[in-house]
Amino acid sequence: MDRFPYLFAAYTVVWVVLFVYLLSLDRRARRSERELAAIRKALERDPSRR
Amino acid sequence: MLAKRLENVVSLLLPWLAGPAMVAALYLIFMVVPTERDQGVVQRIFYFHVPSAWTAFLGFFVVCGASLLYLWRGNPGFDRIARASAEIGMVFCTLVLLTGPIWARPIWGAWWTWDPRLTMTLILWTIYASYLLLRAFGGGEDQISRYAAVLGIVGAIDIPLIVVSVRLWRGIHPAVMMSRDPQGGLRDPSMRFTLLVAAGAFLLVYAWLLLVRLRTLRVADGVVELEREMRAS
Repeated sequence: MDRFPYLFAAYTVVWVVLFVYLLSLDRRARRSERELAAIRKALERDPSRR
Repeated sequence: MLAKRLENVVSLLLPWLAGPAMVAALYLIFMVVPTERDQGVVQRIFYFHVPSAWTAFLGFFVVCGASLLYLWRGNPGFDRIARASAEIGMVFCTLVLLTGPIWARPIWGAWWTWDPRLTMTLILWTIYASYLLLRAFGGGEDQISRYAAVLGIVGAIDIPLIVVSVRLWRGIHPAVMMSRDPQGGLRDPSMRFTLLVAAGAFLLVYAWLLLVRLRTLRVADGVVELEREMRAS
């Protein structure tokens, strides 16, 4: 029972690593969405496509 | 436009709600909640197992609802919600099927028994595994999306059966949340509180994952659409 703090620490470390990874995935997904929107806008402005 | 803005605000908030909520849940599970008298330390897995099950059920109910809306309205946005939710539901359902046997081995003396609830949960897992296989290998046609929607709706019928299976078929799986025994269930208030916090944390993680997956699916669909337009022009 006296080792529960270690178990808590181990689970917290795993969660924090997972959290940071998810956060980076979230940011990359957001960036991809912005880039796609920019490409679409650039293509709409392209006179050769009209 | 308003929906998009709302989605942006929620997706910015969710990580900062889910992160601390999960640490709080872990703190309660390992540092606060008392050790169960009969089962000992292994009972603590309950605070991961049950919220995983609830989150998996929610995920599959969302698949069912979004699939119904997709069949009705034909909006690909609903199809994306169903697909994303099925993937995340499967992650949590797999956690249920992994944490259950870890608890069962010391308590029942066996990793697995063909108890009705366990069997029905395994069936649920295989239904949505088939759903994801259909989506992965069936191609991106509308027809596949419609087949997947039907499978997603039919699969969710299994969930109420899982919930009532302990009573209906008198299985050996504990019915902690539906216990009528005054000496059973979660007697200590901190046990109930810990379970609620853990369930809340899992729910926030589900919502966050759903938004991230929806964003990647939207980008993927956008690229396909762009390619189609460029080929046509």
